[in-house]
Amino acid sequence: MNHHADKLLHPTDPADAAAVDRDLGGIVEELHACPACGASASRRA
Amino acid sequence: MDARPLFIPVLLGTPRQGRMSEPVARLMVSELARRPGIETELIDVARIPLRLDDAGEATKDPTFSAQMMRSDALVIVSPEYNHGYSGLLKHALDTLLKEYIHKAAGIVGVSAGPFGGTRGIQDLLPVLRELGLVTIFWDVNFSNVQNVFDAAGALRDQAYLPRIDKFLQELVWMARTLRHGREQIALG
Repeated sequence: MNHHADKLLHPTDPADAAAVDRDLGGIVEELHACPACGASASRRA
Repeated sequence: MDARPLFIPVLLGTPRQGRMSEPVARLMVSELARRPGIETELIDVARIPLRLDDAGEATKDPTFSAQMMRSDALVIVSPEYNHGYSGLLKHALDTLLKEYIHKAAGIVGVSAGPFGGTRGIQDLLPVLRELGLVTIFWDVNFSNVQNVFDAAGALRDQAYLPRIDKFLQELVWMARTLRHGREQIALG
């Protein structure tokens, strides 16, 4: 998979509060794409 | 991968005397220059010869045009004035068009208040879209900017650096992708 982007998310669930990066102001989600089939996937950094 | 360097200038978007956007712009130039494969320079809107008795592409400055023609992306340092962007920034941007098409743009907002120029950024996005620039989804917001730099213009709060890094990472990705598109992918 090709890691092609980091997207900043601003969660509203209190359970996510501990995962927020203090300097960035949100949670970073990694975006990936398959160079063979184009399928997309994501995961928290 | 294409080994040619990307040229990503930083446009300082206000001529105001005592402008706090200047240390912001110089910081962005410094952070860009540290990245391998990136060439950059500061374009100061105060130093672009702009006519006040005319507007638009007929008034373009050849140096500014050449800089933008060469560019792969643009960082715009945009201070928020009265909930908007600087009029001179708009006047300068409006002097060019073909130089911008399918190039990446990232906006750095600056404000003396707490919102980091966000309102000005939101106002500027449709302008950049119409100019053919492709904006990224990361911003950098310098809030209460009068407290961010010391008297020598050095950054006080190192917490800005990770945000700038993410912003430039995305801008560089978009710049590379669009350069490939401009050069290799035909329309239609």
